[in-house]
Amino acid sequence: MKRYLSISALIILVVYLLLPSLLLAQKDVVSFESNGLKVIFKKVPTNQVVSANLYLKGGAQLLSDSTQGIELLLLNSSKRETRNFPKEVLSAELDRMGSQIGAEVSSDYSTLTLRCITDYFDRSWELFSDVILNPALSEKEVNLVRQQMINAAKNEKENPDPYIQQISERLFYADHPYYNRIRGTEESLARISPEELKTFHKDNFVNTRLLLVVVGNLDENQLKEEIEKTFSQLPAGDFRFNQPPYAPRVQKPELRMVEKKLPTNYIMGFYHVPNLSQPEYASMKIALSILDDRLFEELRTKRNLTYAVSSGMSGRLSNFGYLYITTVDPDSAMRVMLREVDKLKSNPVSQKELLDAVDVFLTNYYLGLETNRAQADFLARGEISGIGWQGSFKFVDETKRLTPKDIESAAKTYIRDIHFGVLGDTTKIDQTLFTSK
Amino acid sequence: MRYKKMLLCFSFSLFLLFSLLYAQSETGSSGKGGIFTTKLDNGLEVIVIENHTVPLVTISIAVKNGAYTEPPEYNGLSHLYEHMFFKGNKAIPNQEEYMERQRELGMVWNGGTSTEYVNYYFTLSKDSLKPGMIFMKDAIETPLFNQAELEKEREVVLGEYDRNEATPSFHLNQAIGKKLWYKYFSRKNVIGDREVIKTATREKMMTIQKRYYIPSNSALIVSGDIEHQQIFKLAKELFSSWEKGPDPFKEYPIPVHPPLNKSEAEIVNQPVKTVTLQIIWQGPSLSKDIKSTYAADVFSYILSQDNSSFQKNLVETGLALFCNLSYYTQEHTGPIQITAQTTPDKLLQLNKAIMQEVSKFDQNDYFSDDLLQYAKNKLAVDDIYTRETGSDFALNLGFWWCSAGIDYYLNYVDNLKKVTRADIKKYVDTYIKDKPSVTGVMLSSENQSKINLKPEDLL
Repeated sequence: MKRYLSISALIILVVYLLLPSLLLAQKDVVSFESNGLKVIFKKVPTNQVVSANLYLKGGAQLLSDSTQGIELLLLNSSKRETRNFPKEVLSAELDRMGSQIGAEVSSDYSTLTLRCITDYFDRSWELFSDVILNPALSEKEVNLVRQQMINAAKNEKENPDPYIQQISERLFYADHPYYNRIRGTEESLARISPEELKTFHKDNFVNTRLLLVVVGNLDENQLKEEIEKTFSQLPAGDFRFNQPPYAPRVQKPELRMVEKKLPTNYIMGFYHVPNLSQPEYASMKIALSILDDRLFEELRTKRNLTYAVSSGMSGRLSNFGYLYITTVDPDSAMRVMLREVDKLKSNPVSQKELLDAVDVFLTNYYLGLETNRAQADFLARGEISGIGWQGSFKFVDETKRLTPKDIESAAKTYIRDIHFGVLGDTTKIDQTLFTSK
Repeated sequence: MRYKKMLLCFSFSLFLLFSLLYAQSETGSSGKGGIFTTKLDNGLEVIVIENHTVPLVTISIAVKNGAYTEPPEYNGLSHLYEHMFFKGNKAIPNQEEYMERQRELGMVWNGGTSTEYVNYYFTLSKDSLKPGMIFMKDAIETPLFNQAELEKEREVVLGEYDRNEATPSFHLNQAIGKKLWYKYFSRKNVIGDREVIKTATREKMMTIQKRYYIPSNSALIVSGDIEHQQIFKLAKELFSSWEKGPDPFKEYPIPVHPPLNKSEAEIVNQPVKTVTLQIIWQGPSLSKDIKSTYAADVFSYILSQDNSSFQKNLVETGLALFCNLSYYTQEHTGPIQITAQTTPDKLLQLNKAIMQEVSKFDQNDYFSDDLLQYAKNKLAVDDIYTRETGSDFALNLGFWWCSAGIDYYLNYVDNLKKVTRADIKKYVDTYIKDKPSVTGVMLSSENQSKINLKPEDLL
């Protein structure tokens, strides 16, 4: 492998030279306020696509037992018909233009999305505005959406991957607001009435709770006018977004096993890690990327103990890191996995391994910004996390300053008190292995 | 290859979407739409897509291999071969070093196997283009198939098989597939046969290599922040030495799937709460009826619109939680598939309602002119959306290159625009209406008992 070292050094240099271009990307971004609404706009002249995302801040921490799933039910129902555009008209117009209005939820916010091409932006925005301002929320449409969501809730346990994630997540966030189900439960969804949705809309669609991010080749001044026209019709409100509790209250290793007859075992462990706004985010991100590679090599390549093994972290405000594997030999696999975790915590990585990991991170970073939609989410995540959209770019820059000591320290601090879920043949499990870290 | 991005079987919608990527480009190396092509003397097609959005390059190779080339004794080995691609070659002899080199180059990498397509790709900084191309050349031309590595990788692939079997829909798809492709099931069964995978030998890997991994059966597709002249030059410099071979499909032709003799039904019990219903027909082959493949895609888009009779009568009425029709474009008999989800009490009513819709598919008033036009518009706009994602260009163009050829792909949107009502009627009458199909239902054994469901109830 020596023959590659000189090339490798060259690549590292190139990566460093590339970094300023990441920061240059900020130059195309502007932000402003409109009647209490924070707006971020990025002009992208290289394609004809426009992405406009409206984020409703709050997420799981603002839900209760009985309102679980209310935001997604509201958004999914709103986009089907409005008071000014009956269902058939709205649907036909969107189909005619190829424009798409979608709804999504996450632990920290819900999103109403618009994707269209620039030629159709004006008309698409008109429809999107009416979905925001005047959803019809008729009983028929709400019930149709409700049934689809209840069905999705029923299906959650059918496929082992979403099921193991649910088992581990429920265990880890048992004492945390994230315990609330953002997609709702069969029970909560069955109870929410169209009237409740209307009240929820009236009370919560206030500009201070919303964030609008638009990415596309649009004229800034015209866009401002359109935004003003729409959001002047909503009250500013006085919503203050509070970050969810930093970490789950319980900090000790735990195990939850669910017996299910499956051809292999699914194992997933959760533990607390910093979020985007916190100082060790970059070091943890790279540390887990290094661990991911090592697990692949040790468990799959060298020992063929698995097809699927990984390590990584989510993007939540109260954030989790994870270990994941499917295997027919859980004890052997876990021993190797935990040994690799210990190695990362107790031995500094080499400078070369660190720089290689940063290279791979940068490739993934760019891949994650290829679409306008992805760029909108990238800017929104920074804004909602409290560091501002500009802060989103900062951690990328931080990765080049990381040292092996930073990686070791982050791993030591955070990869502990792992909450493991196991789905499969639980008789095969040595429980002490799972509760030792 | 890696779990996170494994592309074992592509969905219709994905490919329909990606099919639009190049649709407004012209053929040849004119570069319209940012696509340039050339062919090396050894037959290797080189396709370059210029996309300067981010400073990355994706280097991929598509090979005409996959389940369709597999007789029963080879079933699953195109996929195992794809895994072995990453296990070492003459330049980098084992997977540990192979992975180290990938990290040095900052690569994001993966591979995928489908029925008519195997692909490999590396995405990395544009400044690592040449080492990335060398890396691909070594991997594709000189794999080692070390016996010890092969034995280990068989276990990994079986681990992937286990994961497939842990998913309820896998069992429904297998049960339907065995009936639909009754004579040559192995030619559609991408994951393959456990026993064949378990006993795979180095010799079989070498047979696959010799037969299919030749330049005239492959395409080098490079996309990203690059210039096409630079890629053409590099490709010539690095890949010209790749040794030619005879056309594998002359000596080992793909057998034609015989038509179904009668409609059949299959009930699959899995621990699920809802009911999944699938009705599948044998659809057009690119090799025999290209025109119907365009009609198929337009018709699928018509039925996906909320204002279509199909959606109004099946979903809006509450009979189905969702219901769609799709066609999977293939050179050798693509399936046409209706998929719906419902509750046990509504299953038989839904099945009847779907068949009523099918009986009207070829009527002149089944869809309006607006719906036909909107379907074409949506397909054209989807083209623009898809162009956003530069890194996926190479992979999806590879799919089309393998099954349909580059010209089909490049003229796709123009040909969709030409689709008429008569074309759709012909497609429906030739492949769907009154034609034998396979109906599959997946539900729990408790629910089956509750509604006393028998296969004949579905016919």
